[in-house]
Amino acid sequence: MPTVVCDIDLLTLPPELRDLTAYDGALVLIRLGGRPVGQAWLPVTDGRIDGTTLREELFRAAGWPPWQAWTEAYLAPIHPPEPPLPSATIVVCTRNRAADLVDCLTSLQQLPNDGQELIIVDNAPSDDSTYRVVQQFPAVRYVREDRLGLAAARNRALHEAQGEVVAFTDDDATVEPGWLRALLRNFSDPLVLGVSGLTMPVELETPAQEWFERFTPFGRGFQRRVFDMTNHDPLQPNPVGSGASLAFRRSVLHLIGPFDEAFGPGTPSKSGADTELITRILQAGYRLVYDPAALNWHRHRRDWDGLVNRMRDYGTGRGSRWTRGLLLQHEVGVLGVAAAWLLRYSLPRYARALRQGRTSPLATLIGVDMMGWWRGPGAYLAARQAERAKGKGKG
Amino acid sequence: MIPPPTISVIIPTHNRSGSLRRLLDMLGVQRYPLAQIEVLVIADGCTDDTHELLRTYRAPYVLRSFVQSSQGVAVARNRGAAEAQAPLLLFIDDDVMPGPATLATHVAAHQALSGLIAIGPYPVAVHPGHNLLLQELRIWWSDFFQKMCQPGHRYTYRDLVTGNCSIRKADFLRLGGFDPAFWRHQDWELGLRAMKAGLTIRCIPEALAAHHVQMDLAALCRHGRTEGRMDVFLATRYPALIPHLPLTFYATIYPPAGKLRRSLRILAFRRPELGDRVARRMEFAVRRAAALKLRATWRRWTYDLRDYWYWRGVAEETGSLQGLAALVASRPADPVSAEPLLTVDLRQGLQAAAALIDRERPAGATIIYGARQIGLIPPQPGAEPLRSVHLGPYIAQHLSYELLTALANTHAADANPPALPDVAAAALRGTLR
Repeated sequence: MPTVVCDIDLLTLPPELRDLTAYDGALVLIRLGGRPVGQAWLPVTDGRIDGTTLREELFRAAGWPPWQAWTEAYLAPIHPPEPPLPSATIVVCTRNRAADLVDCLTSLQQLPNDGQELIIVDNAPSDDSTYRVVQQFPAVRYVREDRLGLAAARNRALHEAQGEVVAFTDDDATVEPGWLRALLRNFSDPLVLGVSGLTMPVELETPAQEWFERFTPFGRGFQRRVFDMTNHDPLQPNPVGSGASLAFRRSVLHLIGPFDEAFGPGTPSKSGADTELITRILQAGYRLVYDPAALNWHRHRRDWDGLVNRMRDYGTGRGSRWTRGLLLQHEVGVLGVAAAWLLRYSLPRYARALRQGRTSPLATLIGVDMMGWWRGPGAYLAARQAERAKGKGKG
Repeated sequence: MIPPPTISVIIPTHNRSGSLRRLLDMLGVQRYPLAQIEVLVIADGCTDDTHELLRTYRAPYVLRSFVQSSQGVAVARNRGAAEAQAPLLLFIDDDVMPGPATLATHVAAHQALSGLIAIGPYPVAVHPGHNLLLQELRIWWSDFFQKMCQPGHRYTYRDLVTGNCSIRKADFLRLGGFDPAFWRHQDWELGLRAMKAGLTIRCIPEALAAHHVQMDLAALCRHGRTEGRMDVFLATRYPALIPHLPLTFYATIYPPAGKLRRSLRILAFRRPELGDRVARRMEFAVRRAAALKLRATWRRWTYDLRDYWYWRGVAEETGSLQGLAALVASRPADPVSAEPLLTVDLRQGLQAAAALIDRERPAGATIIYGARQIGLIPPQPGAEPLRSVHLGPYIAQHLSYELLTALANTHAADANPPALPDVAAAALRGTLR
């Protein structure tokens, strides 16, 4: 049975949640005065969650963050003024998903107008459906990039953008009105080259969506975190954030370099374009911030096969990244990271999952993840070769 | 007749002619009348071609140079200040590159505020192929200036850094200049006297410059050792600082440092010859870790090594662990009880509380909410008196639990807005318990 996704503010708690007979569970995003402060998985009994349970569970699940948020709101009148925000370009890279794009663009139109630019990068489209959708929205720039691959599309966007900061979101995601400002606020620190935000699922209607959210959620918790090489290993970029809500300072292009086009959807390495750039930013001694105040909503893939493929792709991307680190950057630490991931994390978890049966969803997901990882090194070499071939074709 | 200069730029230099030439070039393209700039270079024990450069350099401003045998940077700066013709002094280090607006910004800052010491940020400049040590330093310096430029920052003597720093000549002479006994931390020492004299330290973000820092592991160790010795000097002259100096924390070792660091500290006091040998081996190991890009290991060992040299410097000046213990014991009694505290009631409204602090400018404050005590903003030796902008950030960072407890136990009808809704207040009481 599916799970309903609710969005509840602690300051305006509903007396109870009703009419949920189609669901047997709820994932609640907890807010305080609009600010995301936590989440809770709650059971639904007889189509409802009664008020007392709801209140107690939400406050318990949220813990300290709402109270810190409340203190800050209380002290806001005497808080020193914030520095001005940098200019921004919002970029959505898309490929043949015109229907999703409509929702995405509609939500982007609702952002407060701070003079931000909006670019849609249409990546190697097979028809003009995306172009036609973009035409319906005023003040949206349409850019077509014919080199296939998310990394290629994003690089094109970095070159086209005018803003000091380039904020990426996905075509299957919608943003909250405060999303952009919350991301931009973090760039006041000159060392910060990238900021990621909180991504919540817009629906959990199918088992595939629910498994995705439980297994590899896009969200990274409800505490703001700052990452640099003094407090975080650059070879472990995942906790920093996910590509569905990720902003970079445009100067990342000349300080660090573009996205590596051997990575990401549309290449043999399948994924890892964001995480690979995050790794290089950390290696170069710069900073990234994860800020849950920047909230957007993502529609996970509904079909199980799509999820399995995605897990395999994540594994392949990880394996490719580590291969690159070892071969190209001579990062000896990769060996330790890989060994720890395999021996301390994946294999023990796989062994536990096998007890539920070989074909149990958890065992399948961990299995394909490891399988994908095993293909990583080969995939990376293939991707490099494809890159070189493309370069030759061009030159 | 030539009009007198309005700003004297004082550059102490030691064997960095290449960097000095670039700095002199940058001073020639300032967005400030060049006729009003006077540049004084004090060559301190230079053995490279600095003298040659100073003789032949054709500057579009008045350039005067002075030569001294290696007497240290404090003496050099004092010499520059004594010779300066302008009412405003700008100290710039020979490896700091000002931007085109730096001088104009410093001058404007002093026109707006008297009794000012203006600090222009000079974060570490980026070079390709930076090693781990320089990356680490870049993060440290960037944070240092970033924190200082926050509007809610409470300035202390430690914010006075002299790489890009301006002060009126009259103020500088009144303070008595830099103390040559300190060949490091002479800026902090000046900062302590400046704070006592009631001068105002402010960060001026627009006066940005770039620091082309040159630092390797050996220099880091050398600096660590000097800092240990200087901290003993500071502690002896200003006993009120002792509780805030690292030398108070001989026995405190934060995880994950542990055994290695503890043993090295013991060696620094008991068997320094052996300690130095171990430290040299460690230097080698640190370089290997850097070459293999084992960042966590490199970082831990580098900090262990620096820790050793700091304590080696402390041991040099105090003689023994007993000497250190005697020094630490010489600190004055509880400084909190010595200073009068201002009582600030948040129940009167946040704006009123802020206005009260700005009127009184106390060294510290007791924060209450009606009848409830929330907490203390303690007086700090060498810190500026409180301003209203310090109040919000301090409470949010240190006293939010206490503030919430007070608010949760106040009836919504009674509370000064914004009040907690009843449901939230009840839940909060449950959480706080």
